[in-house]
Amino acid sequence: MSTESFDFVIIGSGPAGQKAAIQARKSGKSCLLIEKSRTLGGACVHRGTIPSKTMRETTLIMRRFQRRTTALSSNMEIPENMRIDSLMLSLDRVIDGHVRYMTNQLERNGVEIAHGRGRFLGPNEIEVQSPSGQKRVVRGNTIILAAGSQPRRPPGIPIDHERIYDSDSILSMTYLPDSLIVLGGGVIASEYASIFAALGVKVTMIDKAPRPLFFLEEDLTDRFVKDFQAMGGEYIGQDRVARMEWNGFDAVEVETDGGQKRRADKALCALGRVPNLEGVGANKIGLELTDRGHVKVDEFLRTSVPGVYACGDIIGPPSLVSSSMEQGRRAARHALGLDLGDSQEMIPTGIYTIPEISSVGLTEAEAWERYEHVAVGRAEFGELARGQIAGETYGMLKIVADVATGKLLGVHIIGEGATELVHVGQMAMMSGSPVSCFAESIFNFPTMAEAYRVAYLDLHEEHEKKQLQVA
Amino acid sequence: MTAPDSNVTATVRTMLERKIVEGELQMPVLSTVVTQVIELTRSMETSGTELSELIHGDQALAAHLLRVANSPLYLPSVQIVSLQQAISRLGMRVIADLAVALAAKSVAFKVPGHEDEVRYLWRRAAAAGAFAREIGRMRRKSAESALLCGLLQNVGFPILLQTTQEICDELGYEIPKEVAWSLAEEYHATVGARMAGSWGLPDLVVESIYYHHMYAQAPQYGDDARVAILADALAGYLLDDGKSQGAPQSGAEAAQEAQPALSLCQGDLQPGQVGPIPDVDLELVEGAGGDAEANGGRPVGSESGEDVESGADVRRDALKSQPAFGELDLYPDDVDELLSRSDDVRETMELFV
Repeated sequence: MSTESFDFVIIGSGPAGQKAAIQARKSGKSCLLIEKSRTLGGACVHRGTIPSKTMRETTLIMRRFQRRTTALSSNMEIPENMRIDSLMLSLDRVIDGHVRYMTNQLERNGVEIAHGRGRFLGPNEIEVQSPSGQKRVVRGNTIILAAGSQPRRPPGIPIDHERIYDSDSILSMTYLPDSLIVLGGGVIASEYASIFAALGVKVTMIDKAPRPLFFLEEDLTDRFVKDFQAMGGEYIGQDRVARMEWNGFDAVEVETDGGQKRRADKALCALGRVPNLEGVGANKIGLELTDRGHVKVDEFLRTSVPGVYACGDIIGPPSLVSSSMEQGRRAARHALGLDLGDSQEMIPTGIYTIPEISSVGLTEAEAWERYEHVAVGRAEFGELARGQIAGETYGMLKIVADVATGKLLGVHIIGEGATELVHVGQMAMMSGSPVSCFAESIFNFPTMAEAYRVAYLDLHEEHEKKQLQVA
Repeated sequence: MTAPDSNVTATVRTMLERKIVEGELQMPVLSTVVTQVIELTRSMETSGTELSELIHGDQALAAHLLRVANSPLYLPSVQIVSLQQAISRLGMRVIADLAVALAAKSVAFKVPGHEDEVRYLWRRAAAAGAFAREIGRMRRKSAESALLCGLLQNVGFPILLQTTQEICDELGYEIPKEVAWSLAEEYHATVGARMAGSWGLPDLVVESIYYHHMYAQAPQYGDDARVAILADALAGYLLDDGKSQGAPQSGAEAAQEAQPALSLCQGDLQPGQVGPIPDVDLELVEGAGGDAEANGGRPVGSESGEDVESGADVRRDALKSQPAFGELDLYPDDVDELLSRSDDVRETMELFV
């Protein structure tokens, strides 16, 4: 069998793999991108981010319509036996458009794409098996492993994709259930839990953490839980599932270590994701893994094997599309000996729950650990003219600053538009602007961005009361 | 058997097409009880007592549920003697699937003069349903609805055979079995989809039946149609009894022969474009079995046990090379994995036969 050689061989066409491939080609290097699925994009496009966001968007439209047309609200009840796919009618169009864009971009840049499974034969040698079983061997001076992840299957949870689903299969449910048990309290669990609750499904979340999205600013998660409960949801925290099974008749039943018993039409197990290492041949080249089974990399995304980089979900948190894209770009640039820049430090978190949550920088608690005096300011969306007009009065924006220097340390937002709004704060932080810049800037009126100014005034007022001077 | 008079065949075909186009085809009707069972099993509020009372109105369904609940598959520790016990044992989902399957079997899969072939067709449908569910589980997608897609994809055959027989009776004609099956092959997807639609089955099931031979043209559920046709290929492999006389031709050859009439007719009946028939060359699989049958039960060219092995390998390789597997991101080792679940498939299959 003859061996073809490339400067770069990349396994996986998700956000990390794509950006690495584009970077390699833009530097004039030959590049082979291996993708096991017939369409490009990875789990993000086909099973995760895009499908769930499409369903979420429909849910939001229905919710807004319900809120704003009280005269018609009696006609806006979610029908019994509503088909899940009817909530994602635009999904094919969205995915087709996205895949076409990605494919064009890769082809335009001259990236060679191989449909098949890639497996290490040696540190620089990959065997590619096509779906029809044909094999070819390729060599790469640099190999970038960006094979993604899949839902974790915890022992004792009988995921059958008919009654107990994982986060990849949940949207292939035929009908909207009356009730749903969600195992987990992370991003995926919280997103699906809130979307289904907004659709009128009785949702119960169960997780070991005292509150969902535990890594976030507590003000935000408290709000999230209150809104979730207002939609009929229930969060059971600091507990674990002792038994979960289909009762053989009509419900999934759960018992927790804490003695709670719940039953529901369907269940979703969203207890994390595991890297796609099976079949990649990681053992063959002695790739070192972390304690949690992810590929171990250094700050330049280098693995323990010279010439082999890894990026995206396969290296573990934060596992965001935005961070994966940046990792892919950085891995390729490092392999090419190019300057990496320093944007890696400032990655915002966007969580597409209902309501939306976004965050960048330090939480208040983290800031107190690092700075002597910390000031915070809040703006309620209900105080904003735009919030009132749009009927989005529930949200809140919180800023965190260092009193001594006036430096903006963090921005945390809950409410519709949070993932867009956070970028204003991110830019201020990246440019090193003082927190007072929000008072000195003129924003459009009425806009949600005014929340920054309101939050600054709140911060200032609070500290005037305490006779503290914020720079 | 002598070749049929081409005029006779043409007349029968014309009348059959007219019945299809003008909606005069006699569709099997779902009984009120089964319709209500399907509705009730979708609701969380339904109680076992309520369902039991309803099913008592359909003795055939009640008896079938009792038989299945007492089957080894459900390993009852005590004999299930009441319908309510059976319902508790089987669960809502299985009852809903069994209700549709039993209805299909009893009202559609009975065609005088074609008993053996239709029995084979039903067994294969049951295996296809079970394989479709396994494919759904493996792909982590649509496992819930896959069973019905696999099970009902060929439900149009018996309906068309029955109608063809009625036309012949009316005209006083006789046509050979293979001609009747060939006519049914042409229109079975259209008629099957129409039946599924009239039974109120989900759009996904209706579309996957309609497009199972031309999945590339399916507007929304192409992958589900792929699952159905591949499940049928796996079922054919599993049953390993080749193509019985007059059994459905699923191969590209038959489909291509049928194309002109299919395009004309299906275009009139269903929305959406009907393009060229995709190359789902199941002949490779079925043909091997068929030739084996003609060869005294031995696979082609077999003289020894070793050759038998290689014949099986050829069939297996042919099965794995179906392009639709790759289009579903299923690799050769995934097909091996599916075939390794044959015992589970047979158990599920027994629920329906």
